[in-house]
Formats: sequence, structure tokens, C-alpha cells
Amino acid sequence: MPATEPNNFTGRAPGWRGGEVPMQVFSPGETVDAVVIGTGAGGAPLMASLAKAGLKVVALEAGRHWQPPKDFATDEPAQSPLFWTDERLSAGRDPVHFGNNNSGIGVGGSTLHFTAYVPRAQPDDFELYRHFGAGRDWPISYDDLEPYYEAAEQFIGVSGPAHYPWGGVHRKPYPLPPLPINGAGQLMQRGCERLGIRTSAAPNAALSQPYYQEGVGQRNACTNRGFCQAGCNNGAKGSMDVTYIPYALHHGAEVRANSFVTGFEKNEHGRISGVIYHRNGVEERQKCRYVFLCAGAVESPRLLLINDMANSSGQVGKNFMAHTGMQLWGQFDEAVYPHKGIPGAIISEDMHRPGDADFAGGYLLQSIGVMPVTYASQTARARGFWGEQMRQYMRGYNHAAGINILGDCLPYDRNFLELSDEKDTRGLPKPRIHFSFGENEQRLTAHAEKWMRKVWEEAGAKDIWTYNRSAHIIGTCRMGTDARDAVVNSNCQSFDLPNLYICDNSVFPSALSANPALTIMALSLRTAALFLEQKNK
Amino acid sequence: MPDDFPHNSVHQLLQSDRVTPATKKVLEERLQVKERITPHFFSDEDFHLLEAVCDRLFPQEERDAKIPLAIMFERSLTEDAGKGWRYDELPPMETTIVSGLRGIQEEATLLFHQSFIEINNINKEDILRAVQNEKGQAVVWQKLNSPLFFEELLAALTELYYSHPIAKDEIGEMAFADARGWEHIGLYPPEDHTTTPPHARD
Repeated sequence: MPATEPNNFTGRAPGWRGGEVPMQVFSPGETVDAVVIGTGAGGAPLMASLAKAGLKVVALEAGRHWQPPKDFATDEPAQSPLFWTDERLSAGRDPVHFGNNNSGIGVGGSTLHFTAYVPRAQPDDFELYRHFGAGRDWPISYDDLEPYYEAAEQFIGVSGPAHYPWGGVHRKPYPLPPLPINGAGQLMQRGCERLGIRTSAAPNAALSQPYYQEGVGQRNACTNRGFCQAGCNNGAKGSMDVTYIPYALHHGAEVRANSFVTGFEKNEHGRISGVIYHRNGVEERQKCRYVFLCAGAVESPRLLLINDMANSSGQVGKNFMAHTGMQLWGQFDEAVYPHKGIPGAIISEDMHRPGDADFAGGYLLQSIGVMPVTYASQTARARGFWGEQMRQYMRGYNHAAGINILGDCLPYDRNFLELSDEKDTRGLPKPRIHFSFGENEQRLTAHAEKWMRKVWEEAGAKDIWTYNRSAHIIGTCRMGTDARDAVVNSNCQSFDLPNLYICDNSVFPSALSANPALTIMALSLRTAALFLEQKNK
Repeated sequence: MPDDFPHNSVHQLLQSDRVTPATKKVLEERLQVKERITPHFFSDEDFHLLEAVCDRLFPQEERDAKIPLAIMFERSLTEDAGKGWRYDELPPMETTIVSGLRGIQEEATLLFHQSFIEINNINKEDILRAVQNEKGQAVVWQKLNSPLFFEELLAALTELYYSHPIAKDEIGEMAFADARGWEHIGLYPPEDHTTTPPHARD
């Protein structure tokens, strides 16, 4: 059934720039084709594809619609409503920091706060076990994802170099030239050059020039305000709310904000027949033929565990991974003003598979900008400074610059998500996440620290210190070929419930040594494409 | 006009067109926070103890108008939704903070037979350092991980401090003045005195 024409849409949604835009509204009693849970990098692209194909799609988003030019302040604490604040309990030797470190909420999900960094994974990232005998291989390859990487890059407008020196084939170059390089980027270039490490402008989902966005109109170029992690206020960052979501609305999808999913209805055959959610505190139900669960690597498994479903493998919540993400900081004679510019301006993937590695996998190097309150908070946690020592140190903020890694992490039995006995403000069990880096990650981090220190010393850094942290949440509903030890198949379809798909960071069988956002978007587009193909057979 | 910093204070910048309306609203509201929220979260005794702790973690003796950290922290415990996680080893934030403050008080009683508020600053700082480094003697620490409590309190106060316009002035931070975007985003040479505000230099 074709989507209703825009001028027949019965409802309204807040417009990104203000005012309202037309939006199709479905009746809860009507059986729609698909309910999509979560509107981030996993849910938004597939929602757009399904709506474009004429399916009736309702997306349920726990957070609200934002109107960034009006709503978003250039102030970190004021932007905390972008972050998931239902409490998670963090256990293990390397407890993961959630909230503003890795968990977003709102129409656009975690892409509202991601740093816009969008490297692709490399082909061998999908074959870690084959190459190292550690971790897991993906049941799909880089070649399977490549067309979708390209589609996402072109659609959201990625700025990057004409020739990207590492990784697999890019059939099409990036649609926009690189963004300007900030102080941290220049320092990384300087240090790496002296050591013979290749660098490149990094691919970033932020527009270096104005760009036409279908379903939106003209998007503005980046203003270098560097507050990507606190929400882009001018639409230059390619978050889902200015790309796939308006496109989906234009093609007849409905987004219900403030809607927190708590359960499912099933029919007499055991298939999901509807989704139960609370919208503004009131329970509602939407009947549907298919469900796409895209709530992220904490909330997707949590929902399944609460409802005791899709888990005959016992793998839901297991295999929790987080990237190795050590940051290294220093003070420089030059003024840096580290909040300026796209934060991740420069990349090197020369350490993707270092020849002298005593670990499985590898890492990329990234120059990093940082916002002031985030920097101060990290300094407090990592260096324990207070009193005059902290005040004196922070007077050097404008001369600080950082570099970090994004590297592999293996799955371990001891790293998992479970439901705790403690209830949150919604009356639901809080998730407890157990996480400790293993020997592999410690060796990888030691290798990386040595190199980052050399780079920063060559660049002229003084008072170098490290902040060992993890990044992203991965792996808790993993993809595989065997229903006995995986939650979804290579099409992201649940082995247990044929009309349930899971499509977000939770399905990754390995962490990959690249930031996940673009891979999640590509997977989302692929999931939709294969679903539509199957459906039309 | 290039985006090199004028040698203006944060107050002057807030009145200029370099700050968006959304940002200006937030920062001006923050400047107005001077009274404890009602109803109070902390008992008066605990609140005075908290003030004494804040005065050591962020001493502001040179200021007439100090950043009111204890008031801001009490507000954040009451009004804010929380940061979305806590160490599994710790109880909920409110309990952690109240127990931790009681632990600090207990240290002062054990070592000096006085309230924490009454002892001199050096002794106060010694106690805080002991709590931070898991060297405290108080019974409270048998059930509350003192370095983690200290880290949580310190991180929260640090964020509040550097979110305040007075602290932004202190460190020459102008990230909030982005209404016109930034043109010069690369390095400034070390000897360039014209564009870096003198008060931001060491």
C-alpha cells in the first residue's frame, strides 16, 4: 500500500527548525507493517527505507523531539537532557561510564550526541577469529556492507579526503571535502609526521559546505563550534533528526516521542502482534506485523530480558564489549582553544594491525577536541586534582590538546548485562553491566599508550597524562549463524521470533576497531533492504 | 570582525551578540543561583559540613562573590535527573553523599575531637586526602568505598564549578560565545599576545 501523500497527512510533528511539519498518524488499533523501537543510528535508516517502500511504519522513541536551533544551548550541563538518565549500575574492574559517555535519548538517539566521527570498519575487522583465533567472525563481510556504507555517507553528507589511505574499497569518494583542522589535529599531524606515521583528514558526518538533504532542504555548513557531543544546533552534523527521520516522515512514517516500550503482545501462534509502551505516562498499544528493536546495546537486551523473550541461545545480555579508548593529554606552548572545530579532525589507521602487536586486533588514532566541563570532569576523575592544583591546571585549558585510540575489545564471559533487583523510576529493574578489560585489551592499550606518548612528545607536549576509558556499548544480542549461540541471524532477524529484528550496536559479534555509528547505519540500511526483499518474495 | 577574543569578561560577552539566546538564558540563570533550594535536601548540619568541604576542594578566598558550590550541588541532587549511571559498589548518590559527609565528620572527631568545620584548613585537607586515598579511619568506610565516594563528589563539584560563568572567566574559556561560529580554529603561535586574553595565560 503506497504511503499517503504529504498533503494528506493527518498529524503534525515538531519541525526541526521550529513550527510543525506534517506527519502521518496511524491508529493504535490499526495493524501497521512495522514498529521501530528507537530512532538512533540503528532505527532511523531502516525506518526511512521501509517508509519509502510504502510500508506503514511507527517509530517509538523514549525521548522527545528537539528543535535544536531554539533548544540547544552551547553549555554542557544544560544539554544533559540528551543523555539517558535512567540509572545503570556499573560493575567490574573497569566499570563503564554511561550517560553522557555513550547513551543518548531523543528523536535521533545517540546520534544527537555522537562526535560525528564516521570511519568505516576495515574488511579484516569482520574476521578477527579467522586471523587471530580470538573473538568472533561476523557472518557478513565488508563487501556485504560496502554499498550501504556508501549510501549512508552520501545521504547524510560525510566530509572526508579525496583519497582515504586505509581499509577497503570506497567505490565513491566522500561527497564533501574535509572539515578545517583544529589545533589538536595540527599537533597530531606534527607529531606523527616526525615519527613516520601517516595521517589523514578524518571522515566526519558534519558538512564542510551547505548540502541538499532530501526531506529537509538545504542544510548549513559546520560552524566549528565543537559542541557535537552536546548536540549540534545548526543541522550540520549528520544526526538522524536532520537526515533519515525527516525523510521517513516525508514518506509517511510516524514518530511517537516520549514513548517507552515495556512489552509485547503475542498472537496464538506465538508471533509478536503488538507493542506495549507508555507515552507521557499512559499505557498504549500498537498492533503490528513486524518489530525492529533498535534501542542500543543496553536497552535492547534489557527489554528482551524483562520480557523473557528471544533468548533460547542464552546470549541476550552476554558478550558485552566496549572499545579500548585511552586518551592522552598534554599542555602546549601554543594556544589550542580545544573546544573549537570538529573534535576528531585527524585520523591514523597505521596501527590497525601493527607488526609488533602482542594482541589480537588493533586500533585507530584520533586527534580530539574537548569541551571545558568534560575536560575538567575527566581531570578530576583521572588525576584526582582538587584545590589550588585543579584551579591552576584548568587555567591551562586553552593550551590543552588530546589524542586517543579507538581499539578492539574481545568478548568475555565475565562481561555481560543482567537485570538487577533495584527498580528505576519507571518501576523496571535497573540493568547491571559487568565489564573488565582483559589481557588482550591491556596489551593493546600499552602498545597504544607508548605510541601516543611519542606522538605527543614530538608535537611538543608537556605534563602528559592518560585517561584510560572505554567507549561505546556493543555486542549484547549478537549476530551469528547458529541459533544455539547467537540471538539474530545475518539478516538481524531473531532466531526465536521470526517477526522480530534487532538492529543496533547490540548485534555486533565483534567490536570492530572503528567507531560504530556508520557501521550501525549501514547495517540498518542492509537490514531494511533484505527485509523488503524477503517480504516481496 | 575576526573571532579572536576580545579582552572582555564573560559578563560583557553575555550582553553581546556572540552568545545565542538559548546559551545566554542558561548562563544568566546559573549566575542567579544564590539561595538554597526549598525544601532543603541536606540537614543544616550536613549542609554546613558540605560547604566546608567545598571550600577546601575549590577554595575561593580571593573572591567576594564566590561560586556557591554547595547551593548548586544541593540543587543538582534535587532537581537533576542524575548522570545515568553509578558504580555498582556505591549506594544511590544521595546516600553516598550523606554517608560520605558523615564519614568526613567522623574523621575529624576521631583525629581532633572537633567538628570538621572547626579544625584548621591544613587538617581539613589532610582528612580529605586520606579519604581520597583510602586511608581514612572512620567506621563509615567499612561500608562505603571512600575513594569512589570522593571521586563522585569531586567530579560533581568540578562540573558545577567549571559550568559557572565566574569559573569560565577564571580560565579564559569562551566556548559558549559561539553565536557567530569560529573562523580561526587552528593553533595560535605561542608569542602571539594580541589574540590570547592575558588572563588566560599561566
